[in-house]
Amino acid sequence: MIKTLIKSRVYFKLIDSKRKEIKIKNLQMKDKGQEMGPLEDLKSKINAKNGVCNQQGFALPENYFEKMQAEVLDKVKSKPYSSVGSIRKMWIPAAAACLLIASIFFLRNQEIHSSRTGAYAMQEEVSSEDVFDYLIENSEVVSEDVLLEMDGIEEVIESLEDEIYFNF
Amino acid sequence: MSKYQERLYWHIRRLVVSHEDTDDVLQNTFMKVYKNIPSFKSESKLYTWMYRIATNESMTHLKKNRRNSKQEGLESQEDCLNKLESDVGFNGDVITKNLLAAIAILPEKQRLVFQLKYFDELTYKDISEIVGTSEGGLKASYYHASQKIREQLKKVEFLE
Repeated sequence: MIKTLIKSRVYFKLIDSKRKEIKIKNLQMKDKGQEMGPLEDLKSKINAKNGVCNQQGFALPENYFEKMQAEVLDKVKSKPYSSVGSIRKMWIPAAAACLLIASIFFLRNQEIHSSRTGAYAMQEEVSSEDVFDYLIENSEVVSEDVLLEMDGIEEVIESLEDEIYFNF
Repeated sequence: MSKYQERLYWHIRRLVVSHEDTDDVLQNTFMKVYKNIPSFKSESKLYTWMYRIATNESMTHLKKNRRNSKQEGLESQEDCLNKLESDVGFNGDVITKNLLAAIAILPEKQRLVFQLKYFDELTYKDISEIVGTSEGGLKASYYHASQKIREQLKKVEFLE
């Protein structure tokens, strides 16, 4: 069963490749001019009538090519096409990049400013004594290093020591 | 420039038809050639590279024109004949007119391949470099194009 299946597949593949070969051969035959005969004759008739091979009845102004050549060379000399083109092309992405960078800076500054003003507002609302009280009450949460680094901690410690001393 | 200008002119003229449009396209082509000549790699021939630029410029020009005039679909052979007859720069005979009209109604790619092969007599290898299609595909396009042209010319009794 498997053998017959493989055989049939190989058989179909062979048929396919044969078909392709025939198609290519047909195209090559047609390409060689067997089908093009009447059109080739027509071309030679047209060329014979119009004289110049490529014109096919189209008229051309006198000295056109000399004038065109001069115009193109003038254009090339008057504006260095490549550099102007590249600057024009670069202008828009460069402007977009500048705008993006500026907006990022602006937003960052705003964020920093708002966070700073928030911190200052908190400082104004809460007195330093309250802060010390809070920290001392929650001394288990706040590490000793943080407490010792705070401004005016020495005074607080002294007053606490006095309190303890006098209470005894 | 002087070496290729005529060939490129007629290639563009056959695609865009009017002299004024051809002049614009040809000048743009040469400007692009000057601009990009430092980046030209000798992997392809210089003239096939220039032909490719000219073809792309012509196609862009035709697309722009079509967008501006809001034309859709293909033109009829009669439209093409009328256009050629009203063109002051055209003085071809009846056979030439009918041949050009039959070419003008071909699909864009077939028209391009046919013109490059039939009028410019380029090899399939060169056309393949210009158009960017395999040689087999080009042969098929040329064959179909020539069949359609023959049928059109048979209709107007210029071919047996």
